[in-house]
Amino acid sequence: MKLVITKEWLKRAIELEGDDEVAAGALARDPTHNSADEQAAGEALDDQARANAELAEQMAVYIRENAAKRGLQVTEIER
Amino acid sequence: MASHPVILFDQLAGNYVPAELIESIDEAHLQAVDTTWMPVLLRRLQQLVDQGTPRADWPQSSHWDWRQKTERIKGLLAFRTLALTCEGQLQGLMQVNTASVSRLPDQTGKHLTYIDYLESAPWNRLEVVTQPKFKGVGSVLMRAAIEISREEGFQGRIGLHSLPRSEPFYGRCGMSDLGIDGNYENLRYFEMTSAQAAKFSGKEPL
Repeated sequence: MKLVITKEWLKRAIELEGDDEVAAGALARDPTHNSADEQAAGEALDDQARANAELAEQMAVYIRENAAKRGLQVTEIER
Repeated sequence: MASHPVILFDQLAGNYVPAELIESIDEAHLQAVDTTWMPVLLRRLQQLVDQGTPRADWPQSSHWDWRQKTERIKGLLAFRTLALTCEGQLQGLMQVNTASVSRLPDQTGKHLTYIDYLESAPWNRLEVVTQPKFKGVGSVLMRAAIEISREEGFQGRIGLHSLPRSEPFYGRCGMSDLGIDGNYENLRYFEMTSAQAAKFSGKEPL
């Protein structure tokens, strides 16, 4: 990120701010509230975790099969 | 973790002071919220309770839980967090989402950086203290959101849902007011186009 803040720029920005608060986000009073994006992100994370677990399982099967073809035995697979 | 030298205006001393913008909210920042922000905020809330002030007039973001917010997005590449520090103290926090798109009719489908949350330390806010300390925290964080947008190839486009008492500022910044969003707590939604971002940041349109 290239960020250069000059005194001239900040002075102008402060004039724009005036006495107003500068805040953005959710207004809900529920302390457990998450924004819609966060909720979607949480669900995406759950999906991703599930997908990762499935992929790990598939990889384990693949490794075992290939090991068996070569006459090797896989006793433990780290995940 | 990357950091950038910036400046803030010390209203009490009447001069500009060096500050640092850090491209991540870490454990030390979250602890600073608990140990430095919350005592100031809770003192103010106690005053408001004692005065019988309606809850609607309490500080707008007094219920936010930054630890929970950052925990929720951990590991997700679309989200980025920033912390602003000055004189050894945490002065502001911001969380942005780089996987959002414009709602403006003539910008449909164009990506933008959406400011999920932006908050200044309680001692910088007139709704919490009678003599706020630093000015410019929100503006510097907004500039950072614009630079993230540029870095992502979104040409400075940003969007946000404003808290009610912040609406006049976003209007004065030249952001487009898309009205009340009935799907998001009836908060007013604002967007900044690339041209508006260039104007706000003092640069020519990209």
